[in-house]
Amino acid sequence: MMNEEIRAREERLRAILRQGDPAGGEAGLAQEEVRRVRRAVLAALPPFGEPRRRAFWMPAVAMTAAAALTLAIALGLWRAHTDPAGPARETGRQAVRVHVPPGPAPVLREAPEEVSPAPVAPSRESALPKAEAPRRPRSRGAVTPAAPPAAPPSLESARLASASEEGPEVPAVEPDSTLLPEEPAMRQVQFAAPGGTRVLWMLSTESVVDEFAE
Amino acid sequence: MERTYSSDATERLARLFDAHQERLFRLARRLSTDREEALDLVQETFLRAAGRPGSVPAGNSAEEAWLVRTLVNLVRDRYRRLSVRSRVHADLRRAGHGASHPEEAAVARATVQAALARLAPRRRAVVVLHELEGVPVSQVARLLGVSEVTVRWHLLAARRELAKALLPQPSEEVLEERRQR
Repeated sequence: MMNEEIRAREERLRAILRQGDPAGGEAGLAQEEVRRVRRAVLAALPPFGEPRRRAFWMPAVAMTAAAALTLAIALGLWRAHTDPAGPARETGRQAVRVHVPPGPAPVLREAPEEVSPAPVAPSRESALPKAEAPRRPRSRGAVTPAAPPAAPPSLESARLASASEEGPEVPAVEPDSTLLPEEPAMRQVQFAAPGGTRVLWMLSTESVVDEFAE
Repeated sequence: MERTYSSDATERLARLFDAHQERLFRLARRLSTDREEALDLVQETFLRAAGRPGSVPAGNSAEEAWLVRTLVNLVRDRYRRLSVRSRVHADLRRAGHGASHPEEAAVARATVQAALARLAPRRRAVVVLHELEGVPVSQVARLLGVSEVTVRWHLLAARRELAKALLPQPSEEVLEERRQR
C-alpha cells in the first residue's frame, strides 16, 4: 500500500518533470550555431601538439625542499625544548669571557703563592722601601706595564687598598686611608641565555683574578 | 610529423564534436538556466577537449563519459562562482509570478527549471540523466564516474527535494489519517 503510494508519487513527479523539461519544447542547435562552435573548437587546437609540461619535476623538488626545511626546523625546536640547559650554559660561558672587562679585574690582587712573592715582599720591613715603585699586575695581557700611569686615580687607589688588605704579606704601599673604599669592589654581570636561563656573575676583587689566572 | 599530428587531431576533434554535440547540448540545456548558457557550456566542454586532446579517452562511450563529466564539472564551477542560489530565488519568484501566464506549458517549464536549479549540479545531472533522458542508473554512474549507490542516493534525495517544490503537499487531515493507519 505504502509502496504503491510512493511509486505513484514518483510517477507523478516524473510526469511533471517531463512536462516541464527545459529542453523538451526547444529545437537543438541551429546549423549556424553548430558551425560557429565547431570552428571555434577546431581553431583552439594547439598547432604543434599538446603542450608538454615543462619542468614537471619542479613540484617534486619544491616538496622535497619544503619537507627538509620543515624537518630541520622541527629538529631544532625539539632540541631546544629537550635540552635547554646545555646550549644556554655554553652561551653564558661564552658571554662571560667576552664581556668581562680585562682592565680592572686583574689589578686587584696577586696571590702570593702564584706570584712567587719572595723577592717582592719577604717581610714588612724589607718591603717598605721597595714600595716606592708601583706594583704592576701580572696576569692579563690587557694590563700592560704602561697601564698604571694611564689608569685613573681611583683605580690606582683601589689597587693600593686591596694590596693593603692582604695583610702582612703585601705591605708594599702605605695606603691613604681617605681613599680606601669601605668594601672590596664588586661587579655584577648578568646574562640571559636564549633558553631562558639567567646567569648572574658576581665579580669581586677576591675571586676574579684567581679564576682568570687558571 | 607536426602536420600529421595536426591533421589527425583536427580530424578526431571534428569527429568528436559531430558525434556528441547534439546530445551534449540537450544535457547542457537541462543543466543550465537558459539556451545561451547551454551553448557556452557545450563550447567550453569541447574547448577543453581541444586544449588537451590527449586526455580524451578513445572509444565512443569513454569519450561520451569524458565529455559529460567535463560538462557537469563546468556546471559545478559556474554554480559555485556565480552564486546561483541567489539566481534560483529570482527564478522561483519569476515562476510564481508567471502562474497567471496563459500558456500552461511555459509555466510548467519555468517551475520545473526553478526546481531543478535548486539542486546541486551533480544531483541535478543525476536527475536529468535518469528521469528526463531515461539513462539507466548503471550508465549514469559510469557517465559521472561515481558508484551506483551514489547515483541512487542522489536520486532519492533529489526526488524528495523536487516533490517539495513541485507536488502539492498533503493536507493535515491526510497526514493525520496516515499516522493513524
